[in-house]
Amino acid sequence: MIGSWVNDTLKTIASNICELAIYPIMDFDETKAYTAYNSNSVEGPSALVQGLARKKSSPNWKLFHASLWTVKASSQKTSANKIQHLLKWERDISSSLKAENDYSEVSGSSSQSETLLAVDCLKHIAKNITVILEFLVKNVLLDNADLCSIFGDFLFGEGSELLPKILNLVYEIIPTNHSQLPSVVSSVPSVVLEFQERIVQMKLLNEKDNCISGAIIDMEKSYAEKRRVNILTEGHSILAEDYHNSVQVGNAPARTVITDEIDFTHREDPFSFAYCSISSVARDLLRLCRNTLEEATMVEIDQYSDSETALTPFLLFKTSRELFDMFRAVISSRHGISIASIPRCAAIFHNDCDYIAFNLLTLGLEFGPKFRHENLRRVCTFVDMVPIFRRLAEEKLRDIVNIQKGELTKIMEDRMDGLWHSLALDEVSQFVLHKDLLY
Amino acid sequence: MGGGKIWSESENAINGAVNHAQQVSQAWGPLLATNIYCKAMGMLIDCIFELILSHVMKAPDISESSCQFVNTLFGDLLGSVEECFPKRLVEAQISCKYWHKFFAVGKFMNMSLSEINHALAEGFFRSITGPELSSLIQATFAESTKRENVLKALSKSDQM
Repeated sequence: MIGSWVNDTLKTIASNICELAIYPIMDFDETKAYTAYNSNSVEGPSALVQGLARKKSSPNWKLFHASLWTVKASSQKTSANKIQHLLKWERDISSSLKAENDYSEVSGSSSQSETLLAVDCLKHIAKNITVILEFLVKNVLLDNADLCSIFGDFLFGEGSELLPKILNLVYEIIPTNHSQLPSVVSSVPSVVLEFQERIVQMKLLNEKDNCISGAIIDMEKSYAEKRRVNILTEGHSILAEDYHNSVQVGNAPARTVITDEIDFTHREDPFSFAYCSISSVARDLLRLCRNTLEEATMVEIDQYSDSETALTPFLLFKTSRELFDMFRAVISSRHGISIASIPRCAAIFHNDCDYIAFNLLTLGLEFGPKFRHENLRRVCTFVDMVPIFRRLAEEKLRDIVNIQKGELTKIMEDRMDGLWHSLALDEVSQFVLHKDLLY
Repeated sequence: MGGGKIWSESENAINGAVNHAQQVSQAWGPLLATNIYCKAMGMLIDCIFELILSHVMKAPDISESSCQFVNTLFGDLLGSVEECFPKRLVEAQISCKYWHKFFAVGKFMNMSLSEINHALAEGFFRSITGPELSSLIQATFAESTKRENVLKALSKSDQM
């Protein structure tokens, strides 16, 4: 039986080792890391910051920075003939710069090499964590299976932050380009499985427990979800731009000639969008939607066609629809007051909705046949969203017209109150005296 | 308040409303598609027409000088709001529901009974209802055989 004090002690050790050693080397935060551990660093934080500033090309992903740490475990005899066990973790500036140089060369060459570098980074991090845990298992837990199991439970069990952080790193390695996915799918699982195997060997995890390797089962799904998040984030940043910038769309009308006769030679094309101004936000969002659909049609699904991993084009198609929902939700909430009260804003919003509705009519016909997946070819349509946008356009314009009508009534009503009665009086106003009758 | 003062106050109010409509027109003109713009502006202009017409239509008695005032005011107003439309009169007539009614009432104010009778035969007052025209005639002209004849003709055309 293991007493509760042992549990508490192991819990404290697990918590401390995560807070002091593992999290800092996983979550790169130079200020935090160097304030707490600068005794272990070979150079001060300012030198590191300068070094990083010099290397503008260094990637901004957590995975890369986390891999620049080195963990070493050693044992040595002290003067009193006792054995002292040491665990050191440091971010070696020279190796950091070398890695950043390597990255610069790699990133200049191809995205494929970038992916390989990311896999190397993941391997390095897994190795660092393994070294720390092996040190603890050997020197603190003395390879005791029961203690290791309890300790492992604190590290990887429910409520632990370590597991989500590890999964987050794996998630980070998932590329944003579908062409790089096969190389990740072929290399990441082995790294993760190897890491899990070492944890199991240390008896920190049960053999049957696959909480770590579970992350790699749906690599394609993770990729699709990551793309979705990226696209929606991009869409959101477009929607956060200035809504007052407008661009002209549609066919420019022929020069206006004031005439009572109908000119049959200059009739406007009934199928083209009427010449008007829309916001640059709507234009950019539509462009993003087209790019997303283009990407969805380009995804090579042959190699995954037998599995559910063919869901990338489905999810991208869904994302392209979500962009329009996001437009309605975000613009209405961000600029709702302006749209309801400022005629210019209302006009722009009306045109945006009309323009989107116009494009939604044919978007499905344009991209549907390009999909390689038969189901997608059938379901690819945006026509169901057309009435929503048309209704929204109408509603907002009608609202602003009603508001303006109210304004006009307010301007006239009180001041004209006695007019009907005064028409009976035979007074000639100054107004009439100095004006000729017009007709 | 004297009639002249009310007229001038009304004229100012109408000018204020037209200015407001012109400002909206400046905001919408470069942005909206022509057909949408004309529809929206037509609704605003109709609002002005409707309010003025309601005052004129409910007047129980309209003096001669008031007729001149209304005639001039309506003429000026039509000229100002016409500028809000790209193709001027052609589009204004199509876009404003009350355009012709407003035009007809304005013109009515400067007509004699025989001219009204003639215009009635030509269908010039087609946008004004029989009761409306009757009440206008009664408010504008003193009781006479000629007036009764026009009113009779009007009631006959209403029954047809």
